[in-house]
Amino acid sequence: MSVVHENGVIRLVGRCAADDAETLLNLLVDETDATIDASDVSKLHLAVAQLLLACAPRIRNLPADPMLAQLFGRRSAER
Amino acid sequence: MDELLAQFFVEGRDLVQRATADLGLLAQTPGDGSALDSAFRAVHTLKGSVAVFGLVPAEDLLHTAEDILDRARSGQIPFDGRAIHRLQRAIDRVDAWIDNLEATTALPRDAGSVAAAHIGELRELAPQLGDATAAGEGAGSDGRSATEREAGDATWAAEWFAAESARLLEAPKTLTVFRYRPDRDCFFRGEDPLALALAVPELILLRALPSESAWPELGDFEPFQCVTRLEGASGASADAVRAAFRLAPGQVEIHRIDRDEAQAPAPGARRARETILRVEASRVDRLADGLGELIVAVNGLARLSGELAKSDPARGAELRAIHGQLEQVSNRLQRDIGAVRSVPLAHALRRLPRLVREIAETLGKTVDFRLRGESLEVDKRIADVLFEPLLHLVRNAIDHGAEQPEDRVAAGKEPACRITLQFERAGDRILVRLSDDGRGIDAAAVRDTAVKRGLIGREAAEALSEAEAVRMIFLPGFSTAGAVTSTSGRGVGMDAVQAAVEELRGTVDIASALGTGTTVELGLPVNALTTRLLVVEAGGHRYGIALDQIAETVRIDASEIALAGSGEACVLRDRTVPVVSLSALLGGDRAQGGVARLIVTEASGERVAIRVDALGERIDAVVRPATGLLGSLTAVAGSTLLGDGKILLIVDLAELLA
Repeated sequence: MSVVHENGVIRLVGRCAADDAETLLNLLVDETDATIDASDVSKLHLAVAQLLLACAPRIRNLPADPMLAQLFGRRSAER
Repeated sequence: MDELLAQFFVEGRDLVQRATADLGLLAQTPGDGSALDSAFRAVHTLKGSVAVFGLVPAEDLLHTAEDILDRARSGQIPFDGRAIHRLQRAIDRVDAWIDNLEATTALPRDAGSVAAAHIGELRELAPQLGDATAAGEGAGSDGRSATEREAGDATWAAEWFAAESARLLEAPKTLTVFRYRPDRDCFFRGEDPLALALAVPELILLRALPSESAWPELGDFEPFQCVTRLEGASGASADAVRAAFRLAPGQVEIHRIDRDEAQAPAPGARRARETILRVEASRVDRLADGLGELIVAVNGLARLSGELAKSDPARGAELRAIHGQLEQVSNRLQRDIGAVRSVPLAHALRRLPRLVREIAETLGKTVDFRLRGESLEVDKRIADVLFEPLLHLVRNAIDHGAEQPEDRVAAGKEPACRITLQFERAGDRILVRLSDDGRGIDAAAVRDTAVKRGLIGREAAEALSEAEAVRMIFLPGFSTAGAVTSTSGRGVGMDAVQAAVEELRGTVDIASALGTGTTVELGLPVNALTTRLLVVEAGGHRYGIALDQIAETVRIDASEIALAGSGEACVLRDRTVPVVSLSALLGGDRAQGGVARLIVTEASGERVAIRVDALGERIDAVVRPATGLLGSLTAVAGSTLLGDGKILLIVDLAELLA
């Protein structure tokens, strides 16, 4: 499973495909207080990425991949 | 007010001003490519701003104006005087709508039909435009109209590059920049635009932005619709980048961009990125007031250090050193705050060119209006108050000065009346000169009118020189207009202009030559309107003295004043200082009494102590320059009205002691 919710943190792990977008959206809507940890993402479909971008303030850890981190207008080092 | 809207009023008007300035440049230098680019960018940005507030007529109008400018840039249509005129009218209209929006929070009801009329006028410039814009308007709401794609040529790439330049420092000198707008349904087709973009060779930078103005709320999110656009830069060639996007034809714009060219973007583009803080003027005023009090307190310290030095010279010297530092710092602060309060005149005057065009059009006159030196900075209060009198003067120049075009041609002049408004700095004054090459003022007609209105007797009028006669137009109740027009005849005469200018401690002068034109010159202070005064008493009268002429005030025993030659002197800070009595200088008796109150001044170049009977309060006052009878008195700098209704004469110490 690439989208995991545990202890108030939504974790994205490994390859996140387009199908994960719906799961992630439901979690984001239901768990309004949950933060997002994307540090273990290895591949991100744009359907998932655009959801993350839309709630960027909730992201606690950006993807480790520098090019993916850049999408969010910040470098991963700045997280 | 909504903060966003408040910001729009400022920025929208900046853009109007920029577009107007660019069109002005183009009128003078047809084919000026950078002015054309700059006008295009201003209109493009303004269109985006009005769209945010749903001002549809303004958006449609600017959309068409942008099209025209874009076509002119690519040389598809000739960019002549007619095009400039119509574009300027369109921009003036939007500017008036912004004013309207601020005053009534809505556009006028007829905005739609007015916009349509302007759009029709603009489309005549580019007949082939009709279909394209019609389609563009239909698609206007999805933010990706056909025109936006066309218009989004190298401009966005240059701006994008400038915005990201800090992150591109290590990048090659020449880059390929791309903007990829995947279509909404691409996810259903199994495409992953992000993977595609990440596969671009030599990718240096990639950003994801909402395809609309903002990301949707989570509640509105359709997980399988693409609402993102991707922008990036690559070190590879344009062809290599194009090849990477071969599966997304028509969705990608690609540009080669050179760092050196992109590093010098349009002045406007760069300016927008400077950090600018907008602060309410009242906050700065409070700061200035606080500083004024600080300066008074620091002055008090000077006296204390002098007294302390008598009993404890070492301590006194220490205190004096501290006082010196405080004084230095507070002077610097005063200068800095003065600079903050300074605004370019251009801001206050931005509506003027538009109003000139409107007035000229109403009166059927052709006017070539030019502003010079409007980048000059003055205190905000002056800039704010100056607009009305200037508008009135300009209105007069158009109404009474400018002849009808055919009359001008018959008189051997250009058909357009040249009206120039020029600003110049001269020391701590600014000179404002409004000159026109119109018909000039007929001194004989002015004499007749003044006599007819009972403002002056016939004999006295005839005795006046031409110049003096012309000056009578500033008398209250004077108006040379044979017919009252809607433009000038608003019951406000030139006397109102004179009053407004004097309120600013300014002066008005006028010179006119029949047949060749009129020049009105205003002299205004650059700095704030109020002067800090110390009120003193001498010979039973109160006088005001500007604090900046006072080095210190001291009280000594009258016995310490000794006769020295023909005058008197005392010792202050180990130096012999001449003592003069203010009332004696002003023609009264010499000050008496056991305690001598002295004002020490260096205004005349050397230290002189002036003895007064009493030292009163310090006040901030608007000093009116001495005119008329007062002006003939030496040493009277002006007058001010006190809270109790009495008039306080301001004594100029430098002139008094000269």
